[in-house]
Amino acid sequence: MNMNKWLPIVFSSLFLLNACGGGSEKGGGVDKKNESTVTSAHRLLTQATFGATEAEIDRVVSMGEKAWIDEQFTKHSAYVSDSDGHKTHLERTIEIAELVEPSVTWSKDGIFGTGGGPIWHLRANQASAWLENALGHPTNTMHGSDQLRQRVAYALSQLMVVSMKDPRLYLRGESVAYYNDILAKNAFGSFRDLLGEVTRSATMGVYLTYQGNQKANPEKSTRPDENFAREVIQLFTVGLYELNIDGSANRDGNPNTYPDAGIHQVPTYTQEDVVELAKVMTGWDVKSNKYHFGYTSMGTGEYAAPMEFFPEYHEDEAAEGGDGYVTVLGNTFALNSGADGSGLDAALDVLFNHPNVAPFVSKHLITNLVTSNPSSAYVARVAKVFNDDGKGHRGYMKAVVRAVLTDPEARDRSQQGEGFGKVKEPFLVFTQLLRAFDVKPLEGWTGPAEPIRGDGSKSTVHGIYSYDSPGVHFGQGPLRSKSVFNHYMPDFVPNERYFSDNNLVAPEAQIQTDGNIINVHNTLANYLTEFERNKITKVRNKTMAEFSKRFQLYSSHGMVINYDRELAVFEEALDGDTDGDFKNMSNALDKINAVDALIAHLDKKMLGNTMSDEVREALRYYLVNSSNFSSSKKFDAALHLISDAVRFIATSSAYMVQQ
Amino acid sequence: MKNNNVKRRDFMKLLAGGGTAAALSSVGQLAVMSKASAADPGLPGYKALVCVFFLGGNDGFNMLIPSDASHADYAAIRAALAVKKNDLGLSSISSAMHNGTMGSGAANLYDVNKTQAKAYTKGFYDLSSKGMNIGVNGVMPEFAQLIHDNKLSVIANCGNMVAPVTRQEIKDGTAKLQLKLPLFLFAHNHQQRELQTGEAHRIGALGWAGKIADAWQGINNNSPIGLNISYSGNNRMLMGEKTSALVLSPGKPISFREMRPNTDSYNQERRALFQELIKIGKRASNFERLEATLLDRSQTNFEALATAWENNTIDYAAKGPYGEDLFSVPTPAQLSFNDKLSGAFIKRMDTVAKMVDMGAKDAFQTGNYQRQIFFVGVGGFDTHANQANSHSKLMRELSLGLWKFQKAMEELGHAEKVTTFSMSDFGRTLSVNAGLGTDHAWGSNHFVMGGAGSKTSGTLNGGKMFGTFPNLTPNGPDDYSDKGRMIPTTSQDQINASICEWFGVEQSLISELFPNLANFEKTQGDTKSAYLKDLFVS
Repeated sequence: MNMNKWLPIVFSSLFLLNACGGGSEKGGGVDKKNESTVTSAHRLLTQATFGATEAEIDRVVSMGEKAWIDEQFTKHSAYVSDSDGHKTHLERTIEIAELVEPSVTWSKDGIFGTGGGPIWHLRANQASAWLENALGHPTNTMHGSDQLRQRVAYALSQLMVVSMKDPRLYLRGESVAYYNDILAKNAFGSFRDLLGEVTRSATMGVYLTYQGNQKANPEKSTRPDENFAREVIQLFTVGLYELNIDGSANRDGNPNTYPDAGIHQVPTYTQEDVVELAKVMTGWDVKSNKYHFGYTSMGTGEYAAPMEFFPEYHEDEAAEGGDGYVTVLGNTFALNSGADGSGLDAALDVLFNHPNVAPFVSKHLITNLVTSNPSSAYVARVAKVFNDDGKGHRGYMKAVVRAVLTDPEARDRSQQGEGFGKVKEPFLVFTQLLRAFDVKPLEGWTGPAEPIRGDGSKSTVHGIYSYDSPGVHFGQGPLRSKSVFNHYMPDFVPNERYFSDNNLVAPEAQIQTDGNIINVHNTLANYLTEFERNKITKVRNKTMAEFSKRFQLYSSHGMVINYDRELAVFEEALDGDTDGDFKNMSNALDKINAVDALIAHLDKKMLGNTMSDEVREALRYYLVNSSNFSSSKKFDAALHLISDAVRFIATSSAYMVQQ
Repeated sequence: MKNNNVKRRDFMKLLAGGGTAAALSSVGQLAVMSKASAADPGLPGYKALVCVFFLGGNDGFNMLIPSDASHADYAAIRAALAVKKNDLGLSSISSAMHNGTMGSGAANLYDVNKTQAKAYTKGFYDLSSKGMNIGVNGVMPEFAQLIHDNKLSVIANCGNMVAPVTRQEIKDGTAKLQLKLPLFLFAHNHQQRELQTGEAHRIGALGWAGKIADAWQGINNNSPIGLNISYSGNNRMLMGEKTSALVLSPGKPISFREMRPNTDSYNQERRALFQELIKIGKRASNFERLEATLLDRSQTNFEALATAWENNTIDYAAKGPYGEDLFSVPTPAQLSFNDKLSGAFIKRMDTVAKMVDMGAKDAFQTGNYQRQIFFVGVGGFDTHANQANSHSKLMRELSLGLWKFQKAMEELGHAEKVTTFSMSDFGRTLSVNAGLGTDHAWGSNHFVMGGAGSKTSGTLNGGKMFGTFPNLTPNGPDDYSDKGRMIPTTSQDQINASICEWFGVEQSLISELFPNLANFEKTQGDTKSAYLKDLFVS
């Protein structure tokens, strides 16, 4: 490194840093009056959306947090009308498939894969539709406008887990899209409805292998599959051991008194409960199954639909000489009870009414949205709302979600202890960054060659996000977890003194492994530098069409951000105008001014004005002095400086956590 | 603000003109500081353990099948999933397997019209010549050959246990009353956890390998490449109180983008800022400090790893059984399967082989590199449906991966320094469900592999079956109830204790790692009497 080149700048800026009075003030450009409300608004948007934007922070500040939450509950959803342009996840998945590969016949009468097309592409199309709901869409603005609903659906996808990684769902993008609709549709509805629709869905039926499950068959020496019976109790509703209303172990038989002395946990179910519930979970198959009961193959049934009940395959205990009644968690009911004779609703009612469900589901939502180690009182407050919303409704999700987000522990800094907050999921870090920097679909990426058309031609795709390999880059992906146990365990205690000494969990830290951290870091650094519109068009001097066409359906590069706003903020402070010439870039004083304005702007938008003075100084020092921004092309130098500023905030520990 | 002046100046110095040399020395300090300076335990020689964990619960009773008259009981309960009583004749391909000329397609002894589901039940390799009344599934010829060559032993009907327990005690409730059953038996997550913590009776926090790392702090001369390395995510087994595992992806280690050490000033300036932000993060609030610690670890570890990796290339002379490059995955045509193998297990064992080689040679330049424990998780074992189609692939890849790894260790001269062993959540029901799969059960069969087949002192006693093969009849003496959930008769802790003893873990520590071991003592008060006698040649 050439010392001579550096010395003058170093000394002049050192002088200036000191002249700032020790740097204890916030940087320029921040409205001090609104500081606390910006921080609080940013916190809410981080908890309740896929990422804060500058405009939305300002809106929350002006309308108030409770009003914003109320507004979210009244946002238009895809589930009120078939003809209003607000498409469901499934509709949009199919529409995207048709746009990308127009010559393929994707489905006929609800059955996919009959036309012989590349049915596995639906997986990528489902990912595109998911991204529209998370990121928002520039032209069809209804998609992604219901952020809280979509965010809660994502939290529910980590409770009642299905995964595209399962070999049986790998080719069923339409089924996973349909499943996400169940979660989003019921996100503000009844938990019991949600449980019922999930259980009857072909998606869950296939994933936990009870699609085609049937009664004991002495000739074939088979008996009902126990897979779903166990996991629906253990993972989706009740959990392994009895809970108090605050989520602690119930040892005295009374869920309303806590904490209970002792160390043992009281199991909620036995192997016999599983065997009994497995009998209930028989007789279900996909609709329109062409061949025999339980047959699975492409083009032979409806996987984006509820399953159908076939009584002749339902357990009646005839083979074992039983009475046709089962006992699950102490409740006895007939295997053929209920309007459909399946016994299913009786079984789900037993699970739904178990006292564990309120703390189990409430704690899941709190830890997913707000904080990893909620106080006992916070969990209890939300769980009580689950048990009764004040109007006698149990499991009314709108009330539960409202209780999670409006709780003093979620909203009031003075109620949040030093352990408040959580590690962000890597994939949510990505969506937050994309939203903060005005993400748009990459225009003009290349669709696959369509075998059906046969002429090798490929479509040019507009208005559609593409990102199909989150697992490789982030170690996780929505609706793509490694197993039914989700991406990470709720009880993960990281190896760090504060956490291990106090037995505090940081579940998301489980996937922050040495290897995954480097993958995430490099993916973010790459995206924030190379997939920015000004970099492509003005530095690389390519048209967007030229840049985009090399990316294809399975490419993980189907989004583009822009630093238009950052360039304007920077130049305004640098030159006093925004004409794009960045004429004062080599004037040290003007540059420092501009760096300060940029950092203040990014602090608000990315960190909700919580950047520490130390971080600000380090960043400022680097941005002012580094030789990385010394290009004689002033625009290029300014853009490079901005993208490095964003990148180093984004990959810092401050951005990787939510507090 | 004022308190931080000194640290800030360091950063400035670095940015301003310290350049590459300063950046590098800062890394060195970081590594030393984060590890403190515990004394190296000074163990003799180099040894490694490789834990192959079948995630989801492996069906060990279709991996090893009864080959005597009791096959009839097995076939009755296993119905459509029963492996036929049909010795496929391993000896006819033994030398070809070793020479890499085993022949593909229909030349596979298990071939049934290139259909893996049918191959799965075609037959087995009878081990009666080794004094065992069992056979190895036909899709696992290499596994059978490893037993024949005395490089692998099997353990019958073992699992997660608190204490020996009988069907009668389970039926009459005394097992529950006397707390003789593992907590949350049959639940994946807790059975994995109890096996990994060595504490079937409670939900423990720390893994037994993590506790060894705690006791051996300073191991490998305080290298950032410490005792425990996972190639399958953050796992309980490797989690210590004072130590944590290196968690990696298989294959070549990558670098932090545009921040490689020892490169140009552009990289060095970014690197200096990144590390300064980490230092600041480590002084911040709890979650932020955690995150900064994780970033720091990742960067330090990857830089230590990348340098060693790039300086060590291995070209194996040995070939796989089909003549493929040693760690290549054979094609479906070679295997006479209809589907591809996932290859994830083989890829991990390839990386572990290289890491063992680097460890044994001290490629990390620590001056005293002694011990490694690798965790290799393999997914897909929760075979609730269509098991013949999926378990066949898992067993085929297991057999190939173990064979390839053993060949690599022999070629590199490390075979006697490495012990590879299996664990899994639980076994699976002998009875079959409506989806032609199996459900969660308890006891299963496992293996231990290592040594060079020479039976020299201090190496694996290969070619044996330890433990007792159970009576597979439903409602029979070894059934938990009536679905063929075998009650194990050997505890996984007994196996692990024996392996730990070989690894050099002090007996007093072994008793702490596996507190339930005392319940398995043949002579009360004698911990060693609970070990698997003669698992290693004395």
